[in-house]
Amino acid sequence: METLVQKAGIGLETLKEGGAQQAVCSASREVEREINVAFGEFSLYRTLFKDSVGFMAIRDQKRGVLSQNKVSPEDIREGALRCLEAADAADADDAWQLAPPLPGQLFEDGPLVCDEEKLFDRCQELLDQIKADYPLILIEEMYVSHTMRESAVLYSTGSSFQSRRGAYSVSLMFSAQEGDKTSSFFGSDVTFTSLDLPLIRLGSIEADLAMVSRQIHTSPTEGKFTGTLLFTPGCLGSILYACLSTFASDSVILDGTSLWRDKLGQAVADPGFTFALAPLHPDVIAGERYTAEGYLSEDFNLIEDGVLKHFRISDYTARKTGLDRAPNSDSWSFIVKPGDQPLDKLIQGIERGVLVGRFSGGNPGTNGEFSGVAKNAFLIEKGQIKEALSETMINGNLADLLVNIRGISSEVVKDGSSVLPWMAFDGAIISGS
Amino acid sequence: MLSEQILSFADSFADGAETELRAQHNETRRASFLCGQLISNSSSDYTGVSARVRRGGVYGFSATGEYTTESVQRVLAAANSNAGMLEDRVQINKGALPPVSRGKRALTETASSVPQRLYLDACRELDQYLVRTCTGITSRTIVATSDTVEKVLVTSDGYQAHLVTPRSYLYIFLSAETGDGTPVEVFQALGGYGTFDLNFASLDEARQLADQVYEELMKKTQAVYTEAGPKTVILSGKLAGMLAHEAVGHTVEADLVLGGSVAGPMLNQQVASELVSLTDFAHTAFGQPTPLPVYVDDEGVAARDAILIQEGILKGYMHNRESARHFGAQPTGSARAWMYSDEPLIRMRNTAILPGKDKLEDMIASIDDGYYLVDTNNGQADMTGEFMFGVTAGYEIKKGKLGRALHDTTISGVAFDMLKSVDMVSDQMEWVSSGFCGKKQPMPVGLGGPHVKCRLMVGGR
Repeated sequence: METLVQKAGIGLETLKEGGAQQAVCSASREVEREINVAFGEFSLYRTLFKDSVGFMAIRDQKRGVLSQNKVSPEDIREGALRCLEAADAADADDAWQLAPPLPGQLFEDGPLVCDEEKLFDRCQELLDQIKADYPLILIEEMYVSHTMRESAVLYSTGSSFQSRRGAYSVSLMFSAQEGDKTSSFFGSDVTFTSLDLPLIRLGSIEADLAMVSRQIHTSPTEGKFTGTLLFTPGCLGSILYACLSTFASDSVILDGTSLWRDKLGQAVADPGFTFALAPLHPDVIAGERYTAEGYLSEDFNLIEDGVLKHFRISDYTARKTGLDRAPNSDSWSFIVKPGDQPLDKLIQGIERGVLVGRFSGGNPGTNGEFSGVAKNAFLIEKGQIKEALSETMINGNLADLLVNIRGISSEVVKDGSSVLPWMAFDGAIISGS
Repeated sequence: MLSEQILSFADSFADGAETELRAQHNETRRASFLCGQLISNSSSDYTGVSARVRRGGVYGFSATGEYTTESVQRVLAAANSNAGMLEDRVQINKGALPPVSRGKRALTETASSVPQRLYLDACRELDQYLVRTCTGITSRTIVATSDTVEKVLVTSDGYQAHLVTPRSYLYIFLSAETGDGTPVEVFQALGGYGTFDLNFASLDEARQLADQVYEELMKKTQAVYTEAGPKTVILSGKLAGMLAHEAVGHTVEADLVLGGSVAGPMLNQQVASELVSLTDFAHTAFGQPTPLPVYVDDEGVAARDAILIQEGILKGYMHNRESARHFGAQPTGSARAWMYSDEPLIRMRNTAILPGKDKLEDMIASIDDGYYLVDTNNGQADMTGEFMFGVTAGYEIKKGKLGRALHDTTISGVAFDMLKSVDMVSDQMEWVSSGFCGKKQPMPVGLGGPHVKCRLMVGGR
C-alpha cells in the first residue's frame, strides 16, 4: 500500500510527464466516527473511511482540475490523464500561476485518535443535562463526531505540505415545545479538540438552549419602524459572510460589480470595527495552513479600524486585477475585535429594536440590499429584552449596516471556527403584519 | 458503470438484523465563464460502498471509497459492529420493522461520461451570443454543470435495484447598473433530467433563455423597491413550487413531524384553501415522468406518491420505514442518500401544488395593488411553518395591470395561515429541478406548481 506522499507523487509525475508545466497533486485519507441522536435518543453510529486524490494541471497556460476517490496507482495515473484532457479543453490564461517554491512543511495538530468511550459518555451527559435543565427542549438531531485527516500535497515547484489533523465537533438542531406550541428550530455547532469539558459548556450551546426555551410563545411585530438590530455572535457570522460574498469575493472583484471595488484604504465601516480572517488564531480549530496555489496561509485584517485593507481574493483574481491576493483562502476563521462595553450595557442603550438569533433571508444582491425574517428573535424596547417575536421582517443594506454600528460587546463566543461578539446596528427597517 | 457484485452478498447478511448494502458513483462536471474568462473547469468522481444495519431499533453504518469484495465485507462487518455497540449501549429494543415488498429494478439506461470539452464549448458559444446581443451589461456569467448518481442496492427484505439519475443545466447570470449606479442582476437556469450532451445538443433554447434574461435585466435597471408589509401577490409556478417544498414539504417530512413540526397535530384538518392540493410525486405526474424520477429509495422501498394536502385538508406525511412504523403508515419510498458515505434520510422527491382552473391574466386583473413575483434564488422554512423566499424577479401590479420591475426582495409567511388566503390557482404549471435541498446532506429535488394568488409578507423599504 502506497503512502499518501507516494500517491501524490504518482499523480504529480504523470501530470508532468504529460506535459504540464505547472501541476499539483494531493492525496488524503479521512477517518470519521459520528454518533447520531434523533429526537433525544441515540439512533445511529457510523464510521467512514474516505480517500481522495486531487489534480491541478496547467499545460500551455490552460488549466484543468479534477478530484476522485479511486486511489490505486493505475487509477491515479488515469485521473491525471483526464485532468490533462480537461486542461486541453480550456482557454490559455497566464494568470493561473503557482506560488514560488517553499521548504517542505508538516502540520500536525488536534486529537489524532478518537476516545470513543469518552465521546459517547459526553454525548449521554449532554442529553441528560438538557433533559434536567432545559425540559422544554427537544433535540431533533445531534451529530457528534471525530475526524482525523491526513494529507500530502506536492507541487511541481518543489513545495510539499503534509498534514495530520484531528478534531471533534458537535452539531445540535433543536426546538422548544409545550403542548402543541413549538419554537423555531435552532442550530448550535462547535469544533473542539478536547473532551475535558462537558459539551454543554462549549461555544454558545448553553446560552442557545436557554434562549430557545424562551421562544415558544411569540408575538408578531405590528407595523413598521426604523430600529436597531442586535445580532448574536452566531447570526453575526452569517451577516459577515454575506458582506464578504457581496463586496469582497473573487467574482464581484473580478467583474467589478462590488460596491467596494474602489474603496481599498478607505473607511467602509465604523472606526470601532476590525474584522480579521485568521486561520492561525489560537481559538480557530483546524484552520487553513496553506492555499491551493501553494502559499503558506497568514492571518490578515480585512477591515481595520473601519478601513478596508484587503479583498478576500485568490492569487488568480489578484493577477487579473492588479490587486493583492488575500493572505489566506480559509472560508471561515472570522475574528471580530470585541468592543469595550458589556452586552447588558449595549442592550440598555437600545431604544427600540430586535435581538436576532438567526437570519433567514434571500441572498443579498450586489447592491447589498437584504431582507429576510428575524428568527429566534426578541423585541428590545427602552433598553430591555421583551417578548419573543414571530413574523418579523428586517430590511437594510449590508454596506450601510457596517457604517451604522451602534456598539460591539466585550463578550465573545468561541465556536472553534470564529471568535465573534454581539453587534448592534442602527437604521434597519423592521416590519410585521 | 458500477459492477453488480454486491447483489451476491445478500446471502451473507447477518440474521436478526435489517441490512441495506449500496454501491454508488457520483459524477459532477462544472465549467464557468465570467465575462468571457474561464474561471472554473473541474470534475469529480466519487465511488464507494456503504452498509447500514439495524438492530433493536438503532443503526450502524459504515462506508469506504473502495468497491471490492474485501471492502464490501469490511463495511458489512463494521456496520454490524457499530449497530451492536449502539444496541448494547442504549438497549431500547424497538423490534423489527414491518417487512416491505420484495422487488427488482434493473438498469433501464446507461449514463455515459460526457467529455469536459462539451461543457466548455457550450459556454463559449453562449458567451459569444451574449457578447453579440446584450449591450449595456456590466457582467455576464455562464455555468455548465451536471451531476449523475448511479446506485446498486440490495436489502435484507429482498429488494435489488440498479439505478442511474443524470441531470444537467446551463445557468446564465447577467448584471447591469441602474441610472444611479446601483448594480442589478438576473439569472435563469435551463435543463433537467438527462446528460449534458443530450440536453444541450442544440443551444437554441439556451439562446432564447439568454434573450429573456437580458429583457428582464433591462427592465430591472428601472426597478423600484417593494414596500414592506402584507400584500396580495401572485406567485409564479417556480415560487409556488418553492412554497410546496419549503413551507409545506419540510413540515410534513415525518422525521420533522416527530421533531415537533407544526403539522403534527393537524393531520386531517383544514390547513389551506380548498383550492390547494399538494403531492410529493415519486416518478410520474400527470401522465409524464417527473423532473427527477425516484423509482425505489435507498431502503429498498418501491417509491409511491405521497399525497400531502387534498383540497385543503392535510392528508399525510412522507415516510421512511422507521417513521412509517411509528405512525402506523406505509413507507413512501422517501429515504434517500446523496453520496455513498451518506445514510438515507427522509427527503422530498418532486413536490408540487396541483394546477387549478384560473387564467393568469384573470388573476392579474383581479388585483388592484400588489405584486407578481416571478423568480427566486433560495428559500428556508421552519418547524413552525414560517417560511421565507428570496425573490429575484417580479413586477408591480397596479389596477389589474403589470407595472414596473422590482428590486430583489424577500417574502415570508406562516404556511398554514398563508395557504388559507389562496383564492385563485392557475391552470398551467411549471417544474424546476436545478437546485439542491439541504438537510445534513444535499439532495437534488424537483418542485413545481401553477400560479397562485395569495396574501403574504413582503420585505422592502
